[in-house]
Amino acid sequence: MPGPVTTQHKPDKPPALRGFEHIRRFWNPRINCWTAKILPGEFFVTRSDEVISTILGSCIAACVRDPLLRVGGMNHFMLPEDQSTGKSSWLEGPNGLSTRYGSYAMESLINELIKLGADRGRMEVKLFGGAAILSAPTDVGARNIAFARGFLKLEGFRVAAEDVGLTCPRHVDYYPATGRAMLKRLPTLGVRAIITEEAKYSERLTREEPRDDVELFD
Amino acid sequence: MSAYPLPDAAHVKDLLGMLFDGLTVKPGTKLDLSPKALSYVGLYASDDGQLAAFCGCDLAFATSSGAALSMLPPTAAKEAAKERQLTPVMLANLHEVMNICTRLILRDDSPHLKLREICAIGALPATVAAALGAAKRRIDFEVTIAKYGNGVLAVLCV
Amino acid sequence: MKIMIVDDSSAMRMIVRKTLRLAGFEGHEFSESDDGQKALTAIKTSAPDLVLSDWNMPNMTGIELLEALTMDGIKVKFGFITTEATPDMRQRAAAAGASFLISKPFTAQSFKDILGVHIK
Repeated sequence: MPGPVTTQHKPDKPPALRGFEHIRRFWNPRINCWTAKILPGEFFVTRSDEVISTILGSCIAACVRDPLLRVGGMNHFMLPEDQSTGKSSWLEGPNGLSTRYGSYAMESLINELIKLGADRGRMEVKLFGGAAILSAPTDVGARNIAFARGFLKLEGFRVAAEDVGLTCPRHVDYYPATGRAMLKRLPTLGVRAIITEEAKYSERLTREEPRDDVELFD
Repeated sequence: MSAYPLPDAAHVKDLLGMLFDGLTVKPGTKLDLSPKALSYVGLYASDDGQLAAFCGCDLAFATSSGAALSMLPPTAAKEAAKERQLTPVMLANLHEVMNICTRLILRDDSPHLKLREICAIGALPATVAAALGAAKRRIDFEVTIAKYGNGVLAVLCV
Repeated sequence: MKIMIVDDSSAMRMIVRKTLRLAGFEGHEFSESDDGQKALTAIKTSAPDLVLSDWNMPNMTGIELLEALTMDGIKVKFGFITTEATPDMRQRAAAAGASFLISKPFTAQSFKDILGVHIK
């Protein structure tokens, strides 16, 4: 039966799809469901009865599913600093570093769902994150939101719901089987850990070469 | 682990509760499945034609659910029970209820199962009656539909 | 929108209409059919915008109806309202060209969630 699961017994851990075995998964007694926890830069897809969870500061998470097939996934990404101009720029072109990273994060997720039989025309998207971190010099969160919305609009996706911006971190539990997204806005205490995690991720992005071997296909 | 686990009362309440307002489900006394009983049996077959499960009910459940599904007046259920006969509308509705009860037996990873037909218990062909008698696992519920009354629903798996 | 409801159970057709209303989908033109074969003809003549169909029906199943529509080149938005809701059956529905599948029994909320995109 659709969940989160309400039966007494704990069901067996659903098998991870190939390529996602490294994602941390655990039984969450609070919501009575298996949960996959993703970190910045990661994404996860499933066709099982499980929740995908993450904590977002200025990063964005796109939650995407096919309601007919009940397969779905979530990513967690941010746009890196644009090194070519020496500071974040809102006006980078389509071939800019930032766009390629953002597109890579979105296309990876969408392509994995298409491999599971999902149809772009049926996909339902929910967007979360992009908070402004008050101590930061620029509003990285807003840039992330603008990218995500722009990408989805260009690719013809419908955003069914979003909770983005403001200054609070967010804990998102997404259940692809039903599309339900449970969101908790966190107090700004504890933001430090999130900022550190995201700063590490951001630094990693600027050091790595962007991958351009991912293409969106029908 | 069996391909077709038996449902529990919570499962029945979750499922049929979406069809009928004010539904309560409790473990109940065993449904009378003797040939003279006024009971009905839904036969569920897998794709290869083999009977794999049964859903039985007494006349009271059949008249209550049959009337409630079309929102007929509760007196219609009482009348039919007194006549010991389902009206054509009630029989058609019982068919739909038992179709929905497929989901009490079938899980996401079970081999496909479909309601083949509903028979009055006295009209079961001998082979089917034998299969029903041989069904090792069963669970019986008392199901009450507010305003319409209560009856017995049983699920039996081979 | 012109919405056609196909189900051999008259009680279920009534429940679908009632639930559409409870879910806030009002002001649409409804038609009904109790048979897949008859629905095929009716869809060709009346050209509905949306078909809500049961799967298991005696004369022609819902999936056979959808396949017949596809073969005859008739494009109509088609979704199932059915007890057949396992992953395997959802794959079959998707492969045949269904846009959505609502599992029976259903609630007004599930109608809102699933049909909100399809009924304007």
